Order: sequence, then structure tokens, then C-alpha cells
Amino acid sequence: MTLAARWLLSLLLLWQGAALAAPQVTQAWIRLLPGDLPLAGYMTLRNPESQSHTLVAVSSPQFKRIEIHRSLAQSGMARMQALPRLELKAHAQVRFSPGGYHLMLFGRTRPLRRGQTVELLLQFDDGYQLSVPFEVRAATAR
Amino acid sequence: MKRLVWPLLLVLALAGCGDSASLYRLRDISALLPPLALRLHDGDNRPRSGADFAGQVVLMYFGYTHCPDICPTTLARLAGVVRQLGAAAARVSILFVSVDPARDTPAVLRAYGEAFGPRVVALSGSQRQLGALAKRYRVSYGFGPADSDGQYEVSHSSAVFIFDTRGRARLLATASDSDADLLADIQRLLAPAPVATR
Repeated sequence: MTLAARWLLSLLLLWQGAALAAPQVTQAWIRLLPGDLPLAGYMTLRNPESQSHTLVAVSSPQFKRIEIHRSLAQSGMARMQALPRLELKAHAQVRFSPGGYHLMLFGRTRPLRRGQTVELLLQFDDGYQLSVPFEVRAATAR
Repeated sequence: MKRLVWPLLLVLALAGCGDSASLYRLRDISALLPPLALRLHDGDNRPRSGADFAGQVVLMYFGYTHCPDICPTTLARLAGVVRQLGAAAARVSILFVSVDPARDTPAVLRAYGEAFGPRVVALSGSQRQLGALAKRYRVSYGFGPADSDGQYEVSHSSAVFIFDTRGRARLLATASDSDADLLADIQRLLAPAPVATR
């Protein structure tokens, strides 16, 4: 291996390391409901770093407004709680899943159909931004 | 005489101590709640009553369509479990009762019910009709303040009320019950009554 190639390889590894260290999202999907009903978005948010990150905003040109919510069941009653921010602690994982944390997506700017992908922009308090593709699934998805 | 309506949860807590060897896995409510009776309308704005569902096992759930998480999650689960019944699924009706008639017009109800498949019937009614139904099954619901877009949250009971093919209240399912338990109990309710032998 030439010296130039070695340099290139170590640069590549460094860049990859940096990319891996920031918060990551997997299993991102949206449950499709008819008309213009508000929708829920789900994902698994993982922080591999030793410092915490706080999710402060989520946006997309596809929706007028997006909020971070949590469903609560208290004394047999279902309720929702809006969260202004969500702290992702060091080396922690937060699952946004049916019946728990979810993104509430209000007001479609254009129609959505099953199978398509929608990009949502996650913004953290330290300025870090992450564009995440969410798969649009059927109302009956689980 | 005005009868005092005890909240369902309190009744269940009081009744919960002596669960005998029931054949069923879900919460037995047969001694606690009255038979299926309702006066509502469906997505075609046709009046519907409890008698329309005679011969069916009925799963009744209270919610509203602008609920993005709990309501569709519950309906997706119920529809998924009922689908596992195969041909017997035709003998089960999942009633989604919207307690938010202001936004849930018949057209909204129809599209919503269809999104969850053929076994889901989305219903609503006047506040008076809904109030009577909620009182009958000891559930409550409430409306939160409207935001700048006129949207508001509705709190509602999270349980699923299950009635047998003769309309009798039998079981209560909650989110913590497994799909397997739900499926097994629906299958048991659908099974023909055993013939007494000596």
C-alpha cells in the first residue's frame, strides 16, 4: 500500500468513526391514516456517544407541524403528553413505538401513500441535524 | 331513585379478588356490565343498534380518529388478531366508537373504518347517545383545550369490551394482554356451547 493510500484509508476510517458517533435512527416508519388525520411516526433513536444529546425539533416539508409526544395510560384512560424536548442520555436508546413515545405529524402538505418514504429532519440542541427516511406503512401495520 | 354509577376501574378492583378457575384468560366482566345495547350511526349515516350485531362476537373500543397513536394501534392489533381467525373472522365485529362527533363525521368514520379492514365498523352518535353508552359501560371521556389550529386532544378509556354472540358482556382486554390470550378467548367465545353429557 502506498503512503497516499494509507492516508486515504485512515481519513476514511476517521470520517466513518465521526459519522458513527452521532445519534442514529433505525426502524423509522409512519402509520398512514385516511384524509388529513394527524399521523404518528415511530423510530429507534440511539446515542453511541458518551455525552447526551437533546432532540429539540423535528420538521419536514411534508407536514405543517411535528411534535414529540408520549401516550400515557392512567387509571384505564388513554391520554397524550406533548414533550418540548427529549434528552437522549449517553449510550442510551429511546424507542418511539406504538403506545409510547411517538412523533405527532399534523397537516399533510401533499397526499401520502403507502410504501413511499418521507424525510424528517431531527434537530438536536447542539446544532446536530439528522435527516431520516420514514417509511409510510398501512394503518394496520404493527 | 338515581343509581350511583361506580367507575369501572373501582368495580374491577373490588371484584378482582376472587377470580375462580375461569376458562378465559382476559378479565371476566360478565357479572359487572350489562348486555350490548347502543344507538349510534355508522359511516353511511345509518342508525345502528346492538341488535345489528347479534350472532357476532363484538369487540368495542372508545376513541377518536384524530388520535394518532393509541387508537390506531389498538385497532391494528384487534384487526390483526381477528384476521388470525381465518373464516371465523366473519363472525367478529370490531366496533370503534368515536366520542368526538364534532370532527368524526360519517364520511371520516367510513374512511377510517375501511383503513382497518372489513371487520372494523366505525360508529359515533350525538353527545347524548354517546353519554348514555359511556354511562352504561362505566367509561368516561373528556376534551382538552383547542390549539391555534382548532385541534384538541380527547382522553378516553383504553380498554376493549368484549361481548359474546348473544350480546352478553364477557371480557375486558387491555394493552397489557397478549395477542395470544386475546385470540384464545375470542376463539372460545366463538366455539359452540358444549353439549351437557352424563
